[in-house]
Amino acid sequence: MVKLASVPLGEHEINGFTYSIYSEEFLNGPDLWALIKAKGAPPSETEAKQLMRSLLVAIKEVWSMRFIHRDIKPANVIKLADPDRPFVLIDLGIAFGLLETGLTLQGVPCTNRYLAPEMANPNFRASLDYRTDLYTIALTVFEYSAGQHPIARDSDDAIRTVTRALHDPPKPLKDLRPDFSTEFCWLIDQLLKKKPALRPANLDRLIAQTEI
Amino acid sequence: MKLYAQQGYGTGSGENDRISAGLAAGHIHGAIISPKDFAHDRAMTLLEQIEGDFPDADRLFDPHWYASILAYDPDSRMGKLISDDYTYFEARRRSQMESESQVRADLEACLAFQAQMPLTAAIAPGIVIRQRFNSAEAVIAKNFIRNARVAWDSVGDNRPLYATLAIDAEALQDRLALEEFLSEITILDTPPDGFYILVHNPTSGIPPELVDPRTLAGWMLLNHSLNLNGFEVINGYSDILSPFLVAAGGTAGATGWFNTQKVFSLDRFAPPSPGGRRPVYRYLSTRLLNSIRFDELQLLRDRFPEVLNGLVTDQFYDPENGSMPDGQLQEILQTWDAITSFAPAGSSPQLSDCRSWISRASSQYEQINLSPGMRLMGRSNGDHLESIASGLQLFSELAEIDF
Repeated sequence: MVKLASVPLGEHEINGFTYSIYSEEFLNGPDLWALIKAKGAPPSETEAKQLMRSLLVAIKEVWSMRFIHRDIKPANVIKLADPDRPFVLIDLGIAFGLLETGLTLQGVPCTNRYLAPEMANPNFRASLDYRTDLYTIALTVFEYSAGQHPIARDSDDAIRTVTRALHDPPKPLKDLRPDFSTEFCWLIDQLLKKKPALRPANLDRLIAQTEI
Repeated sequence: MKLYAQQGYGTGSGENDRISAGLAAGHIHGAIISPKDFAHDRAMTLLEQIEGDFPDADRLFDPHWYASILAYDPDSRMGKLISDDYTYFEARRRSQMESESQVRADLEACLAFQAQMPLTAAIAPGIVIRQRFNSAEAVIAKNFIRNARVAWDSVGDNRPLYATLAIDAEALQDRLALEEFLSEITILDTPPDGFYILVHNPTSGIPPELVDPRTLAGWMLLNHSLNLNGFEVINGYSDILSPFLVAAGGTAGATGWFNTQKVFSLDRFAPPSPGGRRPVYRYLSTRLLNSIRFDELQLLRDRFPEVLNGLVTDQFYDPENGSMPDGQLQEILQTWDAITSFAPAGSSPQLSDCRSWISRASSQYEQINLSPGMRLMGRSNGDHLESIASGLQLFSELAEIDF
């Protein structure tokens, strides 16, 4: 996870509005969305596993405080040259605390292209847990590995994007990355199931499965 | 695939001990003891004997806690459960079990009792979720599941723990409610090692193979989802459905020698209904995915030898004797042998196998039905195949997989 920097978290009133203000560390690296768009050499399975592991460790930390990130996507992951910290997850702006009242305004708080199906449930607050983040981790790893989204199409409008997320089966990762192991592809495919109960949820086991 | 003896009345002893015979022949891999039918000292003797003679066999004890809600009825049939032996068992009203502290106390009492037994794992008590997943019983059942691990840890035993998950067949048909329920129990803070699943029917008189497709699909989904999340799943009273459930992700199935041990129902604890007769001996044909009467086997076996399983237990159905087995011991050994043969120990049936079993059975019934004078009637006919096929299709949709 991104770390806080020198400006501590605090509230400030500006023009009659109260703002929560803090600073984050500067991360000197590109985000994954830029790398996907640049269409460079696709990542190896080792790198894909490193990405997945980094994100799993991050959400494990977030979940330990009973929070869900809700907005994991390539644009919110920074790639660093540091082998001990190859990928960093940023932007907890719409993170959801199970024990708190929401701070986000109206609507479904996430990016449509990276919508976990259960987020479209009108009673989603009652049913959310970190498996929502597992789904978006799998979307991010898939898109980074394959260079394309498993479900969404660039030409779709918002309604079509959400409809696909709810109903269309994702492409199997093995179809686009036949060089990846069957086991890793199966894991990504399984985490992209529409029903949370079909996504393997043991975080420690998932992290162990992504060890290099 | 593992198959366990679902113990019940008439286990037998000595040469007629069904469980020991099944273990010795390798047709079963363990036993689930029924305290209703076995006094504690006999249960302990049997468990110790199994431990000594078959050390690799699994030894489990079904605490029958789901019957506690019937125990206030003076006409109920609690058998040995209501005795000085099984000190953990008490009659309970639903209102009492709405108290979480009562649930914890009952869990600890039951699990502390099992900790004193030579079991390979413990089964935590639970109650049946009747009709709907948003029922009061569902809340109580979830409390039992949620608190099982903490109770077992307080006993200080490190053997594996299975939580009882008993659900009405009808409740399994509510797809959305089932998915929500699964979502809850696959993310417990302190989970058990596995689940002991019981699918409740209004009566145990229903043949196990005549399952509603939605019930089968829901039952398979339970196995599939729980397995994905690292849980072991033991299916009680699963009989001929065992291979399907294990193909979906289960660890084991179980069945016994009476109908009350092939289909789970609380009616075996309820006041008895009049009538009933000794059932006719049957032969479980893996080709037909069904058990047929011994006299039907006699009629078919020369013209359609494929209905025979080609297993060692075929010898018990000697054509010279009209294909009638000597007794119930031979019948249950044949049943166990047949079910286990779907996937020998060390291997697991695959979901793709399920479709080929059904296809093969359908084809066989077609041939039989076309043959003059050979048509199988009643329970022995092929009506169950459409239900099972529909159940498989529905499961593939629920599980979001193609096979």
